[in-house]
Amino acid sequence: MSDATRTVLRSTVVDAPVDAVWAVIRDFGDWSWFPAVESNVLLADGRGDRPQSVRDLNGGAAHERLLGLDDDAHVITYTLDTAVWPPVRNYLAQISLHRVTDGDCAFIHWTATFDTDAAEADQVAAAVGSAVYEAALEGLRARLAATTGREAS
Amino acid sequence: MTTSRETVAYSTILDAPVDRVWAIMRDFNDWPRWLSVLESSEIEGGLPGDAVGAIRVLRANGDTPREQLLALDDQHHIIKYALLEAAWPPISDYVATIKLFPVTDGDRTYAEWTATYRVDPSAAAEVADALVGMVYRGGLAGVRALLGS
Repeated sequence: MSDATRTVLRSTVVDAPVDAVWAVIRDFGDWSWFPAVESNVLLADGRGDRPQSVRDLNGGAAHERLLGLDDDAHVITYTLDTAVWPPVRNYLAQISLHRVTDGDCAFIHWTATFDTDAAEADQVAAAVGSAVYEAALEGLRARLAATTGREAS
Repeated sequence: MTTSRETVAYSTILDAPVDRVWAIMRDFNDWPRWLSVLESSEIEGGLPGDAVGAIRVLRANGDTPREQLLALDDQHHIIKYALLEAAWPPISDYVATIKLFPVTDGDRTYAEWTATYRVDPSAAAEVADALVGMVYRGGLAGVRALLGS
């Protein structure tokens, strides 16, 4: 069975300042804004702002490791150590925020690369894009609408 | 005279796929089509407008600024250029970067225009307003008009 590499990108614009978006997403130990996350527990002496900290999602469904956190450029990078799903290897994901000065809102860019079985690579990439990133971005949009008082766009 | 180092930025969302926006903006010699402050553009030495290192001579408000293309990245949609000489604005070490990113939600484009330069502090606010307003905002509004969106 051979592996294929895939890159997935999902990006959107939310009607909230970059700082407000960053304040919600920068804590790797609390992604409660992501609807699929029912429990998010940092392992060992992990901290949500400390690279190499590992979080357990949904009681063992996935272990994710924070690799980098950039408060200046608004970039968070993480990998997947183990997961029941998706069936991927060498997973590297990055979220970056960019200020949209025209309207003081935020552009969110979420990208990942991974290896997966070639025979199902396109299906896995599509599922990760919709079930993970699109769903998470909608959850984030809802959380921001509730916290910033601006209307969801 | 002491100068200060300034950074300015303008960014907006264009309602068109990134490839369409890039096709309009990537030719360094074709900017008068969408940047209304420019009356004409001519590349020195007969080089093509997408040759990295090419120098263009512009006409704008009686001035003839020269600018050099420093980088052109068709993969990541990045243009970087420097202002070599101009009667106005009174700045030095000007380097500007345009980056386009796809907004997959709606198949739109995030366009970001940033620049750094040195300027006399007494003129800093006026220069920043002119660059952001006339060049970056004005330019991207011109691109938006060409896109018909």
